[in-house]
Amino acid sequence: MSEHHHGEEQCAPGIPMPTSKLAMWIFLATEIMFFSGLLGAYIVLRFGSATWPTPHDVHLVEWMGAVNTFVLICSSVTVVLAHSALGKGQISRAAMLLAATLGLGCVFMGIKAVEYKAKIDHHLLPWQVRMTVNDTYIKELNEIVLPKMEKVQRNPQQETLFKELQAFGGSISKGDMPVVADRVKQALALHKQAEEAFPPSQYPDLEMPQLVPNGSLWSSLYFALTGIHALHVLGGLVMFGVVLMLYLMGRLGTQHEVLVENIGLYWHFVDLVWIFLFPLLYLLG
Amino acid sequence: MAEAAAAHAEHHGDMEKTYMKVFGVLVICTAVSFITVSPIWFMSHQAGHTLVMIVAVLKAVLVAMFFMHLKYDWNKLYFMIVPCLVVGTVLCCALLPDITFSQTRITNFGEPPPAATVNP
Repeated sequence: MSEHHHGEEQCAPGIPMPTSKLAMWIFLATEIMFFSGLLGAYIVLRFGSATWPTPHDVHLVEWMGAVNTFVLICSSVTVVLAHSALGKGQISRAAMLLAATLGLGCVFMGIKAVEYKAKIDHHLLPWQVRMTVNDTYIKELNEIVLPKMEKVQRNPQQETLFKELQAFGGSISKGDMPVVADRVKQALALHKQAEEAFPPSQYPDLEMPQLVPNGSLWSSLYFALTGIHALHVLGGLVMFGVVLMLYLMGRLGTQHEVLVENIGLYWHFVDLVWIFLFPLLYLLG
Repeated sequence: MAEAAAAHAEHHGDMEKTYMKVFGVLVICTAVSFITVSPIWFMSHQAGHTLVMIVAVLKAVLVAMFFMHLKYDWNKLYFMIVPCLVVGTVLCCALLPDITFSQTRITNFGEPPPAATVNP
């Protein structure tokens, strides 16, 4: 069989990097597009909305987000050092650093779980958030909050606010404020005063009825963005677990340097996504 | 062969110092971001928000360049990364007109929209 190379292109050598690493980068490229769509949607809905809950309104704690950012940065360092240690043949040190990464990832997920619990406890799931002054709000104000407030020893400032709340509760019960936007505006102003007059730290039982305009949209976006990110973190933890299993079976060696580098690339990308989620969700409220 | 392995190990050793320096910068950047929402922040919210986003981009660049080794692999991967970044940015910008048009909506509850100003 004669060889015919006429018309065939002279192929350049492939990209000088391991195929698995190139595959990981192709996967990460699709991930960049995926998260661009999610973050783009968030930016448009957030900044295109007439009103948006502040972090305080939706029980977001900025320092928890900052701690989680720090934790992910630390985990990025430990994984990159693990890769470096493996390259130098320091297998035990690499395994220790990978275990530290796994631990830090678990800390991140733990803090995220605490944050999710706060949202669930405050009925901030997308289908639970109350966004307007409706019948259940009126009932909660008149039948739960105001009777409790009545029993409290009140100073003059608190007494004035109590009277205002009573008047507001009475008027909306009678349908005196037919425009929903007026009711919401008035309620939010009174909530702000109530928080100053009855600080939640001193009067935990006197929490005003939940009212978060646009809260459902916020909640949907918050859980979609952080939930998908958390699933990625979980995926990374599973991969670190598999590598640690190899170590425990005595099979981890320098031949796994590329594998650890690829998992590290994935993990750094997860860190990179959080670098944008943290300011967008926690700091630009 | 042994020389190659030694050079490889030395390269990793050098990189570890770089990683720790990058780590330090990332921690400082996170602290700076957090300060913008703390009581000690003395400038406007807009200035704080701008700083926060600049810091986020800086952190992302540092992570990508050093931890993800793009500084060294850029010439092998740019053909994949650049289109993603361009298309991702275009995707966000293509949706921005909605934000622009939203300025005509009522922005305060219960407040009527401002009356149109008529030039004399």
